[in-house]
Formats: sequence, structure tokens, C-alpha cells
Amino acid sequence: MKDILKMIRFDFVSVRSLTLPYVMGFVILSFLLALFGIPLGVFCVAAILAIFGPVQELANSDTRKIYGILPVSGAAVTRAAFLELILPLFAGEMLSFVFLFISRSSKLYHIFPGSIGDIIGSLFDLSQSDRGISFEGLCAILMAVSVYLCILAAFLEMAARIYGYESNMRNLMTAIFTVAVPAVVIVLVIKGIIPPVWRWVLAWSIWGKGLLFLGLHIIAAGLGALFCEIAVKKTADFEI
Amino acid sequence: MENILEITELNKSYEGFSLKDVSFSLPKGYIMGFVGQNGSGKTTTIRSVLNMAKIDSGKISVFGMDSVTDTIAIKERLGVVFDSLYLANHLNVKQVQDQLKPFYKDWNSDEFLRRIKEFDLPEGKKIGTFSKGMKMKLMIAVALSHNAELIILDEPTSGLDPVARDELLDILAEYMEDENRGVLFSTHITADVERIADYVTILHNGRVWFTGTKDDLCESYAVIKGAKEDIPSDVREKCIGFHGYRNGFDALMKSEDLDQVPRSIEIEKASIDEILVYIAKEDKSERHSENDTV
Amino acid sequence: MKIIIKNKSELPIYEQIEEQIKAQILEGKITEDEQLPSIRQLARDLKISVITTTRAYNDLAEEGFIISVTGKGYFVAPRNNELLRERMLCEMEEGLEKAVVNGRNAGLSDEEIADALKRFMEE
Repeated sequence: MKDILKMIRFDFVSVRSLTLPYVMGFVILSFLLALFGIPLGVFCVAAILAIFGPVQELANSDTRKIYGILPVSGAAVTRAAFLELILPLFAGEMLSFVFLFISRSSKLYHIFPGSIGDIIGSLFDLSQSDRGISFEGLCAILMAVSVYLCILAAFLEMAARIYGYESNMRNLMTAIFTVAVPAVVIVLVIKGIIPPVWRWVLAWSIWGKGLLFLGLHIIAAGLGALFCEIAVKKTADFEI
Repeated sequence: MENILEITELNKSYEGFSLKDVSFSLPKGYIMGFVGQNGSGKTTTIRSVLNMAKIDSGKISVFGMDSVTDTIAIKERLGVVFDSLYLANHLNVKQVQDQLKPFYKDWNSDEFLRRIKEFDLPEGKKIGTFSKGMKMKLMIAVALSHNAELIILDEPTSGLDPVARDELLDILAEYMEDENRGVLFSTHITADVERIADYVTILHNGRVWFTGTKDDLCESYAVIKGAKEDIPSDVREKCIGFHGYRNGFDALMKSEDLDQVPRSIEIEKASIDEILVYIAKEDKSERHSENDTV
Repeated sequence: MKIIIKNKSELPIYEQIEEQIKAQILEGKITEDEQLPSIRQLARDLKISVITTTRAYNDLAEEGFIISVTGKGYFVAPRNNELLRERMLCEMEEGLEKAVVNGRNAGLSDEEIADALKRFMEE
């Protein structure tokens, strides 16, 4: 475990100067906009995930040799890579939720004179009930996207570790999962299968919804762990 | 004498290349020059020591520990310098220290900063903009800062200017003042090891052609030169890499065979470079004669 | 102590070291009981193999020029050492013999050779 933390720290030092300023800028902007009722913060899940983005690129170059020189096991390197996907993803999701809550309750846009404030309010204020998308709807989409991203990212990481980042196998899988699955979801919505389910879930108690939230995340994290361990096992004899 | 590195019957094959029964050992307190043509297997051997390549058979022990099962404990005490930088280009020296420090129990920040100053490396600049020599010195600074007991260098001097190469030798000479250390120095620029190395291992086509002290190597072989008609055919057969030209010939010969060489033939000391050249020539002529018989 | 290594020299490095240390001991530039740099220090300073410096010191010790004190290092041997004197006498005789042979080959008489020697001693 200590080795994994060291590896995460190693990668973080590597990428922090590349991505952290931008991500922090985005988070601060999200916060300010949330104060004015604008829910830009839903995208924090993607922004936080991007912090470790360049690690893959580094792991593909000459720099890879470092993994053969440092006193760490290959398994620790692989596990660290998976945690670098899953932990920021869930952290980003939480942040997105926080900003969603703030943007629902904070109505600073009233400080703008006259019609500007009204326009912002009518466009973004989630508490105005006649909106096309509700606060609950945004929360649900945010959760669904996060859970999906977690499983997808872990799966693709596994494919990349086993078949290589540039391999056709991984490209094919990327295509299938990033295009096909959302397409199926859209079809389900159009066919009218999702909305009844949605109304049914909406009627659950707060405990029921909480349990669903927890359950889905546990499943996602579990699958992430499973893909991670498969990658560890399959790459045990790989050379650097 | 205790061996700091010991390789026994190492076998490793790739498509189109293999290491065959590679065995050699480096006693504690000495520098070994690891030489051979490009493609002779030096890098594969080093990657095997680092467990980056998975060996087919054989045993490698470093500090008396097994290179496969104890690889992490070994790497704690190992410094590695490659021909290219293994750190991310956009970092600066301070960030590199931040990155590596947690991995080594013995990391000494003062020593690191002292070396950075001594080697004239700018602290705030991106290491990707460093010259080749500076990158090499950075890797050495890393090795020295965690008190590595064995430094393995893989072609560190290829593409370096003479000044930087000389600096490297200075650093290694200083490093070896402590008799509990060792250096394995792989290179095809033999001038680098000619002076400073205590031991030499010559790798050729994936096999060990020679391993032993440098003095032993240089005393075991000599270059002979003369007129072709002066050399009896039975002596000529003992020549290594016989090279005949219009006005004469030159060849490498084992010192033990020298007493059969007629007086009219000149005998000279052989440098490691010359030995490598004759080994390659011998190889070529063997291949030619094989083709002839077919 | 001053040691210069010539890369282009025909003499092997260990012999170059031996010759120079011997010369400096005989000339009195390094004196009795003076400590020599350690094998590893010398190797470091000259950027040469430790095996080479070890060999040079071993040879010098064997010939009685230096002595090894365990745990302390190498020291210049006492000068009026019999062995050393004998060696120097031996070298002197060799030199004289060579001088005589060369002189005679050049057609000098024995007196002329002796005169030449005297002139050297007066210088």
C-alpha cells in the first residue's frame, strides 16, 4: 500500500505543474459561477479526472524506464495507475455535487441590475421548477456519468496495460464503449423505457436513493478493482 | 573476495537475438568495463540485472540477493544511468528530488543539492532542456544521493563530448574511493574504460568473449604486424581477425602463441579497442569461410 | 609527491608510477616515514584502475622502497636500508659498465673514460 501511495505521489509531482493550475482555475470559476446560480461545476468530475491525464503519455515514452529503476513492484505501479483514475473521478463527482447544491441555493445573480439577473436566473436557476432539466435530474445524470466513466476508464486502462496504449484492440474497445453505450442509453430514452424508471426511482425515500447511490458506486469501484487485478496478473511477466 | 554482482549462465532469447550462457562477476571495490559492439547484448544483460527483462534461465545476484525475487531491495541500493533520461522532461531539478525522495530510505537532500551545485546544474530549469552531459550528471547525482553501492551505467558516454566524458570518469574515480562500492560501465567507447576499469567483460554476439582483469586482458593478447610471406600457415591459423592487405598483414594473437611468431614480425600491445575490432573481423571471416564451404 | 602518467608511453602505467616514486625516494623528495596516498586515493587522483595502483605499491613494497602498515597505509621505507643501498650500488655498477663499454666502443682510452667520469663528479 505504501508503495502505491509513493507511486501516486510520484505521478502527481510529474503532472501537477502541467494540469493543476488549469484544473484549479476551473474549480474556482465553477465555485464563483455556482454562487450566481450557474451549475458549471457539474463538469468538475471531468476536470479533476484530467489532473492525472498526462501520466499515460509519460508512461509511453522513454520515461517508462524509471519503473524498472525505482524500488517498487510492477503491481504497485499498475495499482497506482488505476487509483489515479478512480479516486480523482469520485472526488470530482463529490465536488460537482457540492457545486450543484451551491448553485441551487445561492442566488447572487440578483445583484445584477434588472433584466441581466432575470435572464441568468431563468436560464440557470435550478430551483425554478419550470426548467427542462431539474436539480434531481442533473444529480442523476452526474451520478450515472461518473459511475459509467469509472467502469469505462478502468476497463480501457486494463486493455491498454495488456494490449498496449496504441493497440487496435484498445482503440476498438474505446470506440465501442464511448459511442455504443451512450447510444443505447439515448435509444432507451427515445423508446420511452427510461422515463418510467426515473419517475419510479424519484418516488423513493431519501434512504432508498442514498442506498442506490452507494450501491452503484460500490459496483463501479469493485469493477475497477477487478479490472486492475486482472491487469496486474496479466502483466506480471511483461518487460519494461 | 565478495562479489557485488554475479551473473551465472544467464540465458535470454528474443526473436533474432539471444544471450547465451553469460557468466561474469564483479568483486566489491572495483570498476568493470562492459564492452562489445552495438547489439552484442550489453543492454539486454543490464535489463536482466534490473529485472526489466525476464530471464529464461540462469541466476543473477546483486549484493548477494536474487535479481528476480529481491529486486526491490536491490534497487534501493542501486544507481542506474542510461543513455537517455528516464525522468519527465518538463520537471526541474527540485521536482525530481520531490519525486524520487520517498522511494529511498537513505535519500540525502543535502547531498543531492550539493551535487547539483558541484555539477553546475541549474535548479530552476526544465531538465528536458539540459544537454546530454547534464542529463547524465543528473542521473549520477540521483544515484549518489541515495547512497547507491553499485552504479550501473548503460552507454552513458555515447554522444557526449570529451569534456563531459572526462567529468564522468572524475566522478566515478571519486566514487570508487569507498571500497565497498562497485561500478558496471557498459560502453562501446573503450577509451573510457581503458584507464579506469579494473575488470573488463567483452560481450560478443550474446556470449562472453572475455572476462577478467583489464591487465590480464591486455597481457593475454597482442597485435602482430608484418609481411604475409613471413608468417607460417600453422601460426596464421592461430591469428584472430587476420587482416591481409597488399603490403602485409595485421592480426590479434594470444600471448601464449607469440613464441611461434617469427622475429621479422612486429609485436605490439593491444588496446581494448583493437581487440574488439579483431574479434569483429574474425567473426566476419568465419562467416565468409562458412559461406565458401557451402 | 608528484606523479605524471603518460598515456602515450610504452611503459605500462604501474611501471610509470613505480619509476617515479622510486626516483623521488632516491632523490630525497619524499623522505623516510612519509605517508604515501592510499591505493584508492592515488587511483582516484590519477583516474586509473585500483588494480594498477595496487600492483605498483606491491612491487615497490617488495623491492623495499615502501612498507605497508596494516590499517594505516603505505610509508616510505627507512633510507639507509641495506636493501636499498645494495640496489643503488647495483644500479651504479650497471651504469658504469655501460659507460665503459660505450666509451671503448667510441674508441676512448681508459684514462680518457676515467677523466670524463671525474669531470662529471666535479660538476
